[in-house]
Amino acid sequence: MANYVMFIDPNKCTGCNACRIACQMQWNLPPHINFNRLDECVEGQYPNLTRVITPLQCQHCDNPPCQTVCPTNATYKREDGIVLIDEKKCIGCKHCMVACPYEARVISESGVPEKCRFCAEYVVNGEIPACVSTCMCGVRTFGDMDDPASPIHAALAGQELMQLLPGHETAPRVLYAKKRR
Amino acid sequence: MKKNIWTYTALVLIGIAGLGAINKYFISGEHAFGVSPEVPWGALIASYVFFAVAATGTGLVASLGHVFRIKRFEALSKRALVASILLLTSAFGILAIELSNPFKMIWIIFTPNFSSPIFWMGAFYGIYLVLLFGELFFSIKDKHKAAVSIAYVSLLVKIAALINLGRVFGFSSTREFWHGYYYPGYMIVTAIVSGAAVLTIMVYLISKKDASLDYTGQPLFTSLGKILAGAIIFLAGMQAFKLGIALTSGDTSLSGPAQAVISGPMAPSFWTMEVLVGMVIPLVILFTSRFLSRGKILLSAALAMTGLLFSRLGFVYSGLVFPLEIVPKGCSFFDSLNMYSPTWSEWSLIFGAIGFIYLAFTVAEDKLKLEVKH
Amino acid sequence: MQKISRRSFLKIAAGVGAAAAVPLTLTMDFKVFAQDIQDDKVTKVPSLCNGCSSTCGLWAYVKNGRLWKVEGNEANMKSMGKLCARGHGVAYNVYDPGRVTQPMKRVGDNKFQPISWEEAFQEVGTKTRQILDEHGGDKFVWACHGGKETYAAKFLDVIGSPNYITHYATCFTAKTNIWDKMCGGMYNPDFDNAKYMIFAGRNYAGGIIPAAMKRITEAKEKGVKIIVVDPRFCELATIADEWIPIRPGTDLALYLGIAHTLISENLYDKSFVEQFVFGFDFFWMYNKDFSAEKAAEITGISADKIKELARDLAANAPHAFLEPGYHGLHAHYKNSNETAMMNVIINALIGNFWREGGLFPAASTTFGHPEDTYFGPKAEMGSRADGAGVAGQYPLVEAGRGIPQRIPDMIEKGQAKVVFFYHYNPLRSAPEPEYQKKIKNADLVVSIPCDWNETSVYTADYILPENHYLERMEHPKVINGNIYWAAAQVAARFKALDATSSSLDLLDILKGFTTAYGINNLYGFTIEEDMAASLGPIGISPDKLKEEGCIELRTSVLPKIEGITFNTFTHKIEFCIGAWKKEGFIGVPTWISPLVEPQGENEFRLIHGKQPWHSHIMTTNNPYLMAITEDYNGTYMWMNTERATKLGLKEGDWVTVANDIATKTTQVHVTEGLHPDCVWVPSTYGTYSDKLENGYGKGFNYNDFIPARVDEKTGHVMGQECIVTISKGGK
Repeated sequence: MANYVMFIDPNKCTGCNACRIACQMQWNLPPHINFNRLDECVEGQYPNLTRVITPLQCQHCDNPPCQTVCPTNATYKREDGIVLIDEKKCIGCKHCMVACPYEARVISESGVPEKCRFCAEYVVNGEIPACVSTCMCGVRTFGDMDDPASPIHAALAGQELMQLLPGHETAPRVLYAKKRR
Repeated sequence: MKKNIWTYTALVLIGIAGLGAINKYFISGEHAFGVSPEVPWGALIASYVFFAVAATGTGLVASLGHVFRIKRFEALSKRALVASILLLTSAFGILAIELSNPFKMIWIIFTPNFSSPIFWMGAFYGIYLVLLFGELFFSIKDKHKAAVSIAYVSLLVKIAALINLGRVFGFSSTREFWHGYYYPGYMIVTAIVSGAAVLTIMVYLISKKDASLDYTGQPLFTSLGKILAGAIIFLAGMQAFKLGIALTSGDTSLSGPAQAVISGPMAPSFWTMEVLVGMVIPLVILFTSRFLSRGKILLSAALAMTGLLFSRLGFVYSGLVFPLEIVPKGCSFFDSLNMYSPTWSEWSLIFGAIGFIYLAFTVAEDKLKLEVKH
Repeated sequence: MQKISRRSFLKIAAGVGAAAAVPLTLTMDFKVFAQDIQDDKVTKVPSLCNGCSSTCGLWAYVKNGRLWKVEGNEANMKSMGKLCARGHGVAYNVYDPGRVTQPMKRVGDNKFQPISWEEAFQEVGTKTRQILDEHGGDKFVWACHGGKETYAAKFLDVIGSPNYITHYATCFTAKTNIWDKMCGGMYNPDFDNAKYMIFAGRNYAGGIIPAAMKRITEAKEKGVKIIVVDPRFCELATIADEWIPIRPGTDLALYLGIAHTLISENLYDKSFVEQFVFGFDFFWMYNKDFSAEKAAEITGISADKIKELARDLAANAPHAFLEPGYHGLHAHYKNSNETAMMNVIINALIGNFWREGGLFPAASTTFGHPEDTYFGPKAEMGSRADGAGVAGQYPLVEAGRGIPQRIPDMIEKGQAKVVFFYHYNPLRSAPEPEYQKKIKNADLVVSIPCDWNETSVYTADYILPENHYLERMEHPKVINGNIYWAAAQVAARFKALDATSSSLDLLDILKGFTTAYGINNLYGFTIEEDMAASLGPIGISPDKLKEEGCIELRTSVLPKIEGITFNTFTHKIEFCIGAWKKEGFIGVPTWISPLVEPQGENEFRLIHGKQPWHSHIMTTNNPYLMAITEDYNGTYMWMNTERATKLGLKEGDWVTVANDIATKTTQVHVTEGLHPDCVWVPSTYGTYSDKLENGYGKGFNYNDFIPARVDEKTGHVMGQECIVTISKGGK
């Protein structure tokens, strides 16, 4: 069984939004429904500025609060780590949206709080997620931790890693490089 | 059944609510409501809480008659059960329109998630509704013993349902302002406020035609008025405590929402509707009239309910108004709060529910034998 | 705000399509399609992105005859497997509800009547013939963006019109003009081996070449130092080691200061200069007093910093460069020409031409062409209507680029009677739209667009819609330039989708038009034959190209020390432009002040740039890209915090922007990331064709505020010589 994680290095992101729209194309989403987004933080005073853009999306937590609150178990976690939602069971109560500390979910056209799927149906065939493959700055790396040949190992090597909101004990599978600026 | 201006108003309100529901299901979808990814819950969740808690509260206060054998409350028993049923069905109706796929609720039985407060909410309120019907059935059939037995069970279910409803909000650490044990308590106290208020209004509506109430009417009004006043004072104290703690916590995820309530986008609604209309004016009226005037007690109850509706809106929004700090930052990230205001579709459903309850209650009063037999 | 759902988006497209009675592909049921997309086989067709002029290679994934998605082609040196947001978005323009779905004939103001292609060819062909027979073939103008290939040249050649005019005067014409004169062509940076890079006038993270950003970020990972000089904290500054905000319009002074430091401190590569530079002494004679201190006064950058830049360049030379720049400086100021010259000079002073980590020419190749099929008479070639390259008019302007902003003037003076616009929209992309609207006074205006752009709506007598790029197969392209790559590549667009409307390919439009005009068999070949003939000499079969999408030829441009020669008169880099001297100029760059300066508290220089998810004006009707704009307040005008505070402005406030040409309202983004002298707007917004609903009325465009000026040396528009007055309020 695979063990998928994504590594995101915000230090490299310049905010082009290709990841957002590549994902929208991959999943046939309408213009205003997007599974990933960019958080921008500009600090400092003219002319000494730093700007860090952090791509945000479903963190595929190992302890997903959205799954805990889902009354019908529509949200579930696969053994390979991917958190998915079974549309046929979702009543649309949106408790998952309230419980998710990452604001990862958006309501789909059929009223289901959807989110990043880690391109679940594609990665099992060895493809990489659309947001990763289109990223010109190499901000994102996706891979299987149990596969020694996966590029994820090289990407993580020597990185000082962090997870978002560790205080919530969600144990995300999206790992971020620490800000270097 | 006699039709009056209120009958027609109720029908119009129900009609408009129908349009609101159509807008959600067939035209705009989720965009029919003012909710967003940042504020996923809005006026409909708030009004669901409003009606569901009112249903529980009505049962709770009325059960003083059955369970605690307070004589003057027995006149209310069947009517209170009817009112509870109507309030609860309204709550469920609103929830059904808020939910995008209510029919998939069937999965709550096939693949239940016992860790989910909403699962328990469904369970408790589902059981409560069944118990309400049972109690009403046996009461109408004059099977007093059976009805009382059910009432005991029902009391436990009611309290469980209220506490669990508070847990729906307090469960997740994501929404700091809701997180913890405050809201289960808040639910119980507000249940008593709304129960007393609903019963006051109900008694007023039926006192004209039910002669039996002439006998018990005045003391009943006074008792309800006192319960109402007591519960409002308790609630005011709790809310002040909650806001005070949040404001002085030094934690922006607590003080931020509190600021938003007292001086931010929610302030106008909070101060005028929740505090002034919902608390100060009813208390002033009640105390100055010494709980003697039926009309003034009715007015207080109506104002308290109005205030409570806005309190619900405020309580739901306050948990979501403050942006989540997802990325640790040194820079200012809370320039803008998450904005939300209810749309016409949302308001239409709230008023439609009120219209439905009025209409259904008058029909029930007309068709069912709800008077107390002596 | 009414949000567009994918479903209603398709519905709109279907509505437009149905009105024009198009094939069924657009009117399909979404749910059926969604199901099909799960079940159907995917076909991958190679093409080249049309989102900007970088021609990134991509694969179009087609399911059930409908576009699913696009992905970058790994083999293509521009994309290297990556695409930017606009690349994904522009692919979806194939379903743009703003597309013109069949030929249109103007029947009134903003009123068009759909006509058949036969009628369109007949009417346009005969009218053009009548007008040109009366006034001469040189009254015909073909105005276009200026891609590497159109078929128009054949027609121009027969009728004797030299008037092939491109948009470059509004873009970067100073750069190509001057590099050609000084070193015989363009040179491109080697990101992989440089140790120190200065970027000025080019924001690779805004005007994106994905492979460039890939290589720049990889270089950064290795510890290469990246300096960004820009009045704005641009997207590239995000990952730079240092952002140096410069007073807009003074880059020339900075460059002069750097050159002065390099020379006065003896840091320059004397051996390189001796061998490969002509006119060094002449340059130094004019500039030996222009010290870093003087540059500091003008630019607002400290003399120490300027010297540091020069010293760091020298210390890392030749593995260092001052990036040659792009739109950011080369059509913007009165001193843009001299700025471009100084860019050549600084790079030459550090001797980085043909050196690893320095600058290289583009590798190239030559295509074959189909045999001529027209042997009829040809008219004598007339003179250029825009005066580009014409003695006594604009002798120094490259004739191959032209002066597009003069088109209304040419029409008024009777020098242009028939104007064809091919995917070119000067009413939005050229200065002063009200002035450009006079184009409608031409005897005949024909627009060949994809969508209902402003030029079509306001000026065209006929609109002849071309197929979306994914719907057409095209003459192959050489993929090269802008960034160093050791080998030329060959790629082409192949037809990925059937036309969703009754638009045609350019070749078919020109065949129909020229036949109706009365020239038989001018284009006696099919696109397939053209492709085969083009690729023949380099030994590539169209099938192989279609299979691989992009084919790299043998390596031809590698670092060298021996045998370096430049394609100039002296075979050296000429610090002094002879042609300029002939026209009475000095020939070497010296400091020239910007044409206009902001004065007082309310005045700002209006500058502009590319937003990473929009491609100037051509993407504003794309619902996906406009959704990004909405989510990130993309239409806001940037203003420095200190200046904004003085005007009492905070984030999101409405302001009125005015000068003697226009008055517009917009919202402000208050930021520390902008030089206080200027305000910045994305070059994207201000769509005013009401048939482009997603972009209509959003934001404004810098072109609203600039007059249609022509720079005397290279013909550019001086797009940032523009002062506006800003006051609070307006909406």
